[in-house]
Amino acid sequence: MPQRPLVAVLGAPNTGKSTVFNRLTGLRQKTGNYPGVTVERMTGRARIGSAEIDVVDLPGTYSLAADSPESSITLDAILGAADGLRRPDALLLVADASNPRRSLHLFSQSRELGLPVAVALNMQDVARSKGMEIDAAQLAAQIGAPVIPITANRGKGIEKLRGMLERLLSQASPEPEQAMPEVSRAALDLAGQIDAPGMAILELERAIIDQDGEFERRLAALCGPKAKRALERARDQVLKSVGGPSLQVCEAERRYRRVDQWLKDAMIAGSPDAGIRESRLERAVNHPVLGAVVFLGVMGAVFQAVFAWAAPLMEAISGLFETVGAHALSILPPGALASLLVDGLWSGAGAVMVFLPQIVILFALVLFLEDCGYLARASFLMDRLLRLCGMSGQSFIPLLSGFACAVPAIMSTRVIGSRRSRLATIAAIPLMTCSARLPVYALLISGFVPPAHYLNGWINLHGLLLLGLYLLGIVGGALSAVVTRRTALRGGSDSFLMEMPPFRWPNPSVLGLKLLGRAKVFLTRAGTVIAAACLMIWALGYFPRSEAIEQEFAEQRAVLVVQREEAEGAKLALQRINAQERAAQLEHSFLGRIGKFIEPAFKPLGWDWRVSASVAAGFPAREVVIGVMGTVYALGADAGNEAGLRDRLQESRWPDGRPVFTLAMALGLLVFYAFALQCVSTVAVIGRETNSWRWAAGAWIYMSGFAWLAGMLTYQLAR
Amino acid sequence: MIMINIHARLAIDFISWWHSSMREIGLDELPVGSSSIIRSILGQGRQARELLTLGLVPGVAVQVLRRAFGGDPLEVSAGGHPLCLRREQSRRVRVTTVSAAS
Repeated sequence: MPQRPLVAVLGAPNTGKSTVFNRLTGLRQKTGNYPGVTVERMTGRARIGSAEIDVVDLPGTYSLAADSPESSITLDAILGAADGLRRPDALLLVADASNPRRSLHLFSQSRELGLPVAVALNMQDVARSKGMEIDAAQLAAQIGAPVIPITANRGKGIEKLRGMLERLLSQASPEPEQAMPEVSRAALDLAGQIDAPGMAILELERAIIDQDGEFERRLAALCGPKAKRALERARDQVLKSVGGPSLQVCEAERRYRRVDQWLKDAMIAGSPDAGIRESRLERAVNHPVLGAVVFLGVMGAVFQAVFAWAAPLMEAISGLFETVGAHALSILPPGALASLLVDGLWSGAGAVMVFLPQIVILFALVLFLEDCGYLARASFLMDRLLRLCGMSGQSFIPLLSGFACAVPAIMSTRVIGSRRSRLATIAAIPLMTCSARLPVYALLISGFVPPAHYLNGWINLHGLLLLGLYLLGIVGGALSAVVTRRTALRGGSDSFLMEMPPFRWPNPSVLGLKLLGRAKVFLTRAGTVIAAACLMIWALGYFPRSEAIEQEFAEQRAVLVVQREEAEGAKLALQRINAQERAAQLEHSFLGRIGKFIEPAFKPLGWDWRVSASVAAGFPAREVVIGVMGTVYALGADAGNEAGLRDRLQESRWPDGRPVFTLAMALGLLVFYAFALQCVSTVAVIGRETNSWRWAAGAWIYMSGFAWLAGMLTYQLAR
Repeated sequence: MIMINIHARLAIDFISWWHSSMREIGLDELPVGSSSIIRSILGQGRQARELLTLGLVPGVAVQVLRRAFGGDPLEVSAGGHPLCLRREQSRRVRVTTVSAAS
């Protein structure tokens, strides 16, 4: 059976490339990664006419000059050199009709690759609102490739696009017209001089043009310094024949000149550089003073919305899980299996699901603000401040996402152009107050900080403290980025170069798809790890069982039955005995032993073995700590009840009768929680995104160490 | 002979530099709201390439739209499309002092 034809979709970021891909393939798509790099690969299947084709969505790139992983993957994929992806049969270039020059520049590069190229002239609506119109037929005649006007957001023109792809695939690929024929000749010469297996002529061309680029690096790595010298000779020779300051300037000039010629004839209304017309809203948002006010207002509204909307949903979800769990325990035969199912698996799943409302709400707001173009303005405003910490304006969106969940946030650092800024941002994100820290904050603050109100009740101490912990996370993140830049990433300069998208209403279905993607990332990448961690912690806290303890409590129960107290009291007493048995078994278990073993290390923070065991249990996933505390402190059937746990914590005593949970100790614990990297999924995603386990291990070690130090200092100073 | 050749080259280079420096300033020196034409992009390699890739190419009209608080970064329009960049990067973009008709 012949293979289905493969069409690769390429285009600059923000041209609606992914929307076109989604429209073509519908839900028949797969997400994966290109091997070895953290660039997402989307493949799918589309029906065109009577045939089926495979479609691959290449990463967004402005140019084929390989500076970013995205652009070198794009060229590799087009040339059939990317692992696990065959050479496409045709290219579909998604162009922005409201910004045609940049898109046609990419077209000018990609049509030299020896494949048939078609152009989907997207965002007709935006272009029209700017008073621009391009005659598609005229442009097609100019560039020698089919052009279809579409508005992918609204699904307009997609059927025509399918028809065009069908025709495109039946055509022979045209003879490519070269913008830099001198370079092509030099690349052929160079290929004769050196032995560079696996490097296509087109890649050698890029190596010649792009000084210090990815392909120059690859050539040097592949063939050594001799090849690099040959490359430099070739570059000098070509430069001498074309003149000008450098080949890359020459290439850009020639291509843009050509693009302008094409557009001169094809544009029937407006001009490619029509100038910027700003709406009143844009002027307000861009105003230096008013803009800052708007920024603070928007951020405040986002966080307010997250808290106000998520709280009832979270309560409903955790209530549901508890009720079902308690019911299951009452009908299942008691023993290890029931405990595994309910305390291990079910409550593990609950621990994941309870965060979903908060994460979904925050991501919905972030994606909305991003798609309507506001967050690019915020990045512009924040660049100066973030640069002080070694990050860039582009770090702003990932940092904001970090308040929901660090895992998708770290994955979204891929948009940051400069590698150093990106790594510094990855170092800062885990310190943002993610939703998993909140239950612990809430418990400790409400339990151990005396309530106080100021200014006629407008401000209360608990809220103030929570705000303080958020700020502590932000300051900690900033410090973490600074330290990373001063130690592991010393020197170097970075850039901040970003297109400013126009304000527009986001398309709800595109937004929905993106949100679904984020939620999926949380559930699969973070959720599975959290659930597995809960299971592991359950096993550590359940085994080994002590027969002696079982015996002892069985006797107590027997006594209770003999005494035959009145029914209500007996039931309560039985519950108490069961809870005490669980606590005694936990003390005997591996987890209890770990807690006792590490107790000396956490003595300076004022923790006894129970707290130490709970915190140790929280290292794979910080949110399990509350559940473990519930068991350690022998909380009965009301295990999920925060007030019950709070009372137990307040009753907890050292052997000499002093209370364990004092204000100082609780503050120290809060600070520890703010800094510690207690999340295996975050460590794993740092490892994956930096392609280095050293980074992941380093982040874990220094953050845990710093958390200990800060917690210790807080406790000792506050005591 | 070779020495003379080198000297001649140096002299020509110097004159052309002097000549162009009379009429070129960095994009960062352009006041907010004014327009100009890009003459050249300074520097080699990646940092220059980034600018070229986003359309900051000799011959293209630029306008400084605004500066962020403290004058950095800048938002400019190149060929009619807005983008933002840092002051340090904008120094590499050399523009004519003569304001283009806007």
